[in-house]
Amino acid sequence: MQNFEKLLEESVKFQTQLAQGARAAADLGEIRVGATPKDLIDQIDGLRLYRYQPLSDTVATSNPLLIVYALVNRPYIVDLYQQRSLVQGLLAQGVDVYLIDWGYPGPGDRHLDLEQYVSVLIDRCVNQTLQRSGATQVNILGICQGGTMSLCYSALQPSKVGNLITMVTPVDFHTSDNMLTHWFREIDVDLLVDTMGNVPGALLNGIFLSLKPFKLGVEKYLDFVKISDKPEKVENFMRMEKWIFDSPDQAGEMFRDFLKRFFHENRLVTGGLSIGGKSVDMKSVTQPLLNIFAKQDHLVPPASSRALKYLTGSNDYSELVYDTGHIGIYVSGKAGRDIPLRISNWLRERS
Amino acid sequence: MFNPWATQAPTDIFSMWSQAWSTPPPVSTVYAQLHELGDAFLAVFKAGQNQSDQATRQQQIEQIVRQFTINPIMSTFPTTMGFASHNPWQQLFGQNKTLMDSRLTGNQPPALGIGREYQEDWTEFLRLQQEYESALRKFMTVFEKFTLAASERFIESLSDIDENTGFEDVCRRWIDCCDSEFQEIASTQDYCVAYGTLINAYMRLLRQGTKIQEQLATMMGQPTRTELDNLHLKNKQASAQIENLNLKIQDLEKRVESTQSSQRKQSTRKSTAPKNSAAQRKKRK
Repeated sequence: MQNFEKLLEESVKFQTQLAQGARAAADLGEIRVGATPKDLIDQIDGLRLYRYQPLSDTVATSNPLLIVYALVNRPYIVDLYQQRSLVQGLLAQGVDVYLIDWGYPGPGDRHLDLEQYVSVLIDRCVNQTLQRSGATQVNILGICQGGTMSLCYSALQPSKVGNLITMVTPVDFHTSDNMLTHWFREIDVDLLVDTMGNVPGALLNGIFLSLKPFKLGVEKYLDFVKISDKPEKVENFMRMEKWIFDSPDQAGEMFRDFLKRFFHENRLVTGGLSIGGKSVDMKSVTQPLLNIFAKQDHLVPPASSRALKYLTGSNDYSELVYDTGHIGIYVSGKAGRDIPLRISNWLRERS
Repeated sequence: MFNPWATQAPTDIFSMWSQAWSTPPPVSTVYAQLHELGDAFLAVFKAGQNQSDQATRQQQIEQIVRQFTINPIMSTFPTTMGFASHNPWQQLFGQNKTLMDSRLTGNQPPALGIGREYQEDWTEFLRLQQEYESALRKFMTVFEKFTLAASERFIESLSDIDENTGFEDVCRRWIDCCDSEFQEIASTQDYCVAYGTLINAYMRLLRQGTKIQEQLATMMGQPTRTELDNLHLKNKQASAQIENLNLKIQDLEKRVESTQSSQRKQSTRKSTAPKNSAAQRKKRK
C-alpha cells in the first residue's frame, strides 16, 4: 500500500478537486438549454407544438418530421446545446423538424389518458403539422415512451404517417432483463393512481436512478471531479444534470393505462390493445420502419426494442444499433454525429 | 369535539406527499459524504502506517469495508428508491398518534356515539401505519442481503490492492461491487415482492391519510382534493363533448357547403341549358 505521505497527497488533491467542482457548479448561474430557434405552431393547455427554423436550403424529404418525445423527461434533450443537438443535425441535412413539447401536467390534467394522448393530442399535432407544411403525410420520430405512443398512432392512423422511426422505444415489456417490469409487477397501479392522482416526476426519477444507484448516484459525481477545472465541460455536465432532474409529473390516468397495458399486460406483443374503442393492431403498421436502439440501455433493454422487427406489417424494416446507453444515444459524440445523417439518408431513400 | 387547528398540519399537504418520496441526495450531500469517506480512509492508514504485516493489512481492509458499508450514502440509499424512512404522518398528526397508540394498546376504551366513526378512521390509519412499517422491515431484511453480498464482493475486490492503489480506485471498486450485486438482487422474486408490498402498503396509508385530511379540510371549510378531482373530471368530460360537437359542426358545415355547391351547379346548369337550346334551335333553322 502507499505510504502515508502519498495517500495524504492524493487525498488533499481529491478534496481540492471536489471543492473546485462544487464552486464551478455554483458559479455557473442559470443553466441554458436549447440551441436552435423555433416557432410556436400550436398550443393546447401545457402542450406546445414547435417548428424548428431551417438551417439549410436543401430539402431532404417532402414530408416534415414530427418528433414525439416521452412524457417522463423534457424533450429539450434533442436540442440540448450547440454541439449536442439531434435537431440541428437533422436541420443541417434538410429535414423539416417539428416537435411536441408535452409541458408539465398539473392537477387539472390528471384525467388525461392514453386515448387523449394518442388519439387527440398527437392527432391534433399531426394535423397541425400537415396543415402548416402543406404535406399529405408526416414522418414520425418517436423517442422512448413517445415511440410506443407513435406505434399506436401509426396503427390507428396509417394514412397520415409516411415513415416511422422509433428510438430507444420499449416494445416488448416482458423481456427477462427488464428490471422496471420486475419492479412494477407487484405494484397495485389502481391503488397508486387513485391515491396519488398525478404521479410525481421526482418519484419516477428516483426509481429510474435506482436501476443503477451507485453508478448514477455516486460514480457520476466522482467523474465530475475530473472535469471540475474545465468550465465548458462543467456547464455541459450541469445541462445534463438539469435535464435528468427536470421531470414532469405524469398524468394519473395515462400512468395507469401505460403501466397496465404495457408493463403489466404487454399488449403490443400479446395483442388485444384498444384505444378509445378502436383496436390497435401492430400489423396495421405497414409504413417503412427504422428502429434505433442502444446496446447498453438499462432502461429499455435492446431486446425490448428489437421485438418490433417481428410484430408489424411493414416489409421495410431497418435497425440501427449503437454501443451506448439510453442517454448516451442522444448525447454521445459518435451517435450524435451519426444518427441525424442516417435518419435523413433513410428518409431520403423513401421520399 | 376534535379541534383540527390543534394539529401541526403543514400548509401544503400535497407537496408533503411528494417530498415523502425522497429524491436522491443533492450533489453537495454526495460530495460531503465522499469527503467524509476520504477522511476515514486516510485515518485508517494513518493508524496503520509503518506496520506492514499481514494482520495489519487485513485489519485495514476490514476497516475500509466498514467505512464504506456504514457510510451515509449506503444507509440513505433506501430513501433514494422512493421510500420514506420517516413517516410524515407521524409528524403531521403527532398528538393524535399518541392518543390512538394508547387506544390500540388498550389503555383507552373504544369511542361511542358521535366520535365513533372518527376514531375508527384513526384506528384504521394506525393499523395501516403498522402494516407499512412491517412492509418496510421486510424490505430492509431483503435489502440487508444486498449490503452483505456487496461487502463480501468488495472485500474480494480489495485482495489485490498494493502500494499504487489510491482512494479513488478503492471508491470505484466499491461502486462496481455495489451496482453489480444490486443488479442481481433487485431482479429476484423476493426483492420484487418486498418492493411491491412496500409501495402498496405506503399507498394504502396515504389513501387513509387523505380521507382523514379531507375530513379536517371540510371542518375548516376548505375544498378537498376529491372535490377538485371531480371538477377536473367534469372539465375533461365537458372538453371532450365540446371537441365532439366541434367535429360534428365541422362535418355539418362541410355537408351544407357541399349541398349548396351542388345546388349552385344545378342552378347554373338550368340557367345555361335554355341558352344552349336556343342556340341549337337557331343553328337548326
